[in-house]
Amino acid sequence: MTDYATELLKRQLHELNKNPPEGVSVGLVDDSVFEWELLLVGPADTLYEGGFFKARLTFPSDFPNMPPTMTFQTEMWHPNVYEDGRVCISILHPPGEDRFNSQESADERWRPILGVEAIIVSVISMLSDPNDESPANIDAAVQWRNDRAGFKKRVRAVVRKSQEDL
Amino acid sequence: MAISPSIITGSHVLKHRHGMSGMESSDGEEYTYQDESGEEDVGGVESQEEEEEYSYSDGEGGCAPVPLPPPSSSMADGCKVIDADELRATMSALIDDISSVLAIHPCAAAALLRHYNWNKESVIDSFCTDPDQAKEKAGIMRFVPDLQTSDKGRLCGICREDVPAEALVALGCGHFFCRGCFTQYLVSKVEEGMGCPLTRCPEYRCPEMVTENFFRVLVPHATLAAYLRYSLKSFVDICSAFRWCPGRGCDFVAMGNSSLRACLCKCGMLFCFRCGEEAHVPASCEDMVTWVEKCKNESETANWILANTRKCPKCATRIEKNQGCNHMTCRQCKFEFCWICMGPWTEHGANTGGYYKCNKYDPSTPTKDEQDGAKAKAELDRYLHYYQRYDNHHKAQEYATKQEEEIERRMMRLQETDGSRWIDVQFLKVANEKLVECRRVLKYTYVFGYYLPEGTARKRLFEHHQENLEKFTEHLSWLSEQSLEEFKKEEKRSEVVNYTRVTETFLKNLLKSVEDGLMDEDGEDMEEGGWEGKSEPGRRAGAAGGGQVGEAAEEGRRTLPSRDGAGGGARARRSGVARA
Repeated sequence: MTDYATELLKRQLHELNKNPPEGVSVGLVDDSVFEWELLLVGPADTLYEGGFFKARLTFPSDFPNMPPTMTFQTEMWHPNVYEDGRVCISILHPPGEDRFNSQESADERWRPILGVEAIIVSVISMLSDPNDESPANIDAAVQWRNDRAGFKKRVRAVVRKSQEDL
Repeated sequence: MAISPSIITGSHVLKHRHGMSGMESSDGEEYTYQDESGEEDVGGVESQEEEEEYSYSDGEGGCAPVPLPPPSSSMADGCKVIDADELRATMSALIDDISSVLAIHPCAAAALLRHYNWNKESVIDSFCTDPDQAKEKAGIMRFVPDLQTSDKGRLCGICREDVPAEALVALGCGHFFCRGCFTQYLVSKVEEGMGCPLTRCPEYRCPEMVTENFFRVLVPHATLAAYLRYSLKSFVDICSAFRWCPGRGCDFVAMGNSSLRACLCKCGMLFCFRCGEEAHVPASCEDMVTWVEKCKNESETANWILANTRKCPKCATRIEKNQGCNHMTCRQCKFEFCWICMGPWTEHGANTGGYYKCNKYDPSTPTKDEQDGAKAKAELDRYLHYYQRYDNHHKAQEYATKQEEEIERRMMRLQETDGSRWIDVQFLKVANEKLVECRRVLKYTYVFGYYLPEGTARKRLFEHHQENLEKFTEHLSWLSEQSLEEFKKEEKRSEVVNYTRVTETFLKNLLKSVEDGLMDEDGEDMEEGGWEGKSEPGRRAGAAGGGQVGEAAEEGRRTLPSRDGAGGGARARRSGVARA
């Protein structure tokens, strides 16, 4: 199982390095192929434009049947990012049905077909389009909804800080 | 019950949370105090009953392998117990039914049933109203019974390798993956557990359901067995008409409906069909939840602390004063203060009426803290009253259950000593079974009683029934433990037989009375002492059991006060219920 995951992750890393999505670079934290480091440039035409965001991807041993977790190392202000940096989007949730949850959200969850690239695409889309229906950071979600100017200001501060830290 | 950590003079600083009787045995925590000499002693409470003749030991009643005859009371009627094979057959019958009614493959029928919570009517309704929508919801829109094969090689989306056509498989949706990745995916779903019957295609957002056939074809034998178990388990969990027997290691399933209070499994376990716990009449499922929660959490511990400790006026450390003078020294901050007025000790002396006196205290105006303390102490005492008796019957029930083997041996020996027949010695077994049952019910009467409002006629009536059952149970317990020498006498045997019968009558009366809402026949307002002339349960017992029972009951009345175990002795003596 682990060999299978190792093999697959190596291949995905290779693919991403060869052909990286725009504004993203990936690498390993140490020697382990289960810990990745991500540098994400804030996408153009979003509040996060110009920011340099570092994040970690931690893969489970039963990848790709289970999803990795993604955590921003750089300070972040976003409705779908916990205060400790963990990213909360549906495709990073373990697959499977929850009888008490609506079917639509189960459909959006992780499937083994998904790879790191799909995660990056989702995170970029998350940055441009926060989902305040199921927020991870409630304060940020409330501000996003009620005080857009304040939210923008806060994000700009985060972007500036990310540039200084680089 | 006396709350009595061993007697140490001076002040104690409470080092840990304090435990209560019974609680500590359940969670294994140890609560320690430290006295001034630095010794540790284990706090806690000893139950008075421990010194009695029973040497209770812990252990599980568990699931006896031998099937027992059904109990004589009617509690367990209306419930059918089936094994895993019969259950599987029931499930298959339901699937086949839907399959033939809707003319679809059994695997598709199963997916529909799962989606509609195994409700046959809603499956048929939805399917007939809008078959496409029903199929889509259940993930069988593009259902095919067997694995699809590819006509050309493709890239497997999971392992990103080019895979030749013969190694590719797909569900009806046509999303091809290599066999290895697909299998790996299914195995990991089964390893995840319960949700595996609802596995969908590995393709992102594809709603197609992986039905049983695919598991059969792809996964190894052991994984398939696990899948089938989970499939059966989710069937039982979802259908309200089924309930697993909660007995340890027992695989039987009860079929019934939620109005059933008790269900007897083939393994001997008697359980509540509604909540799946041990049968707990007369207490309701809701009472049990609250009770168990209460016994688990530490609210009572908190009450104990409130009732028995005070805070150091300087550092607020909780301090228990067990004995000794009022001059306290906090072990934590070394602050010296007076236990009575909680003021600094330096202010004490001639002007407070002497060095060791404190005339600052005015008992007519209790402080808020003390009022709360007294209230908490009263509530704690009330809870402990019920808990101790609950626990006592619980242990007695376990003891009696464990006695079953010993009883068998005694029956053998009795047969050998005086040549009586097997049927002649059955009375011992019957008596013990009755004891187990009574202990169980008595245990739960203390839960029921705890939640009955104080001072009402209903409560008085209930306690009257409870007391009767308790008396007779204790006496039956004592009778059946006599030496075998005694049982050589015919009258001793019939005494046990009669007492078993009378006890059963009292048991039935209690349960019936609770079922009827604890209403007295003459109306609600029963005065204390009004029982004297009524003797209702006793009379019924006499009528039910014939003349000898009357004697037995009379005998019971005379002998019982001295053997009154868990019940209130004063009440037992006052009421002459068992008069024939």
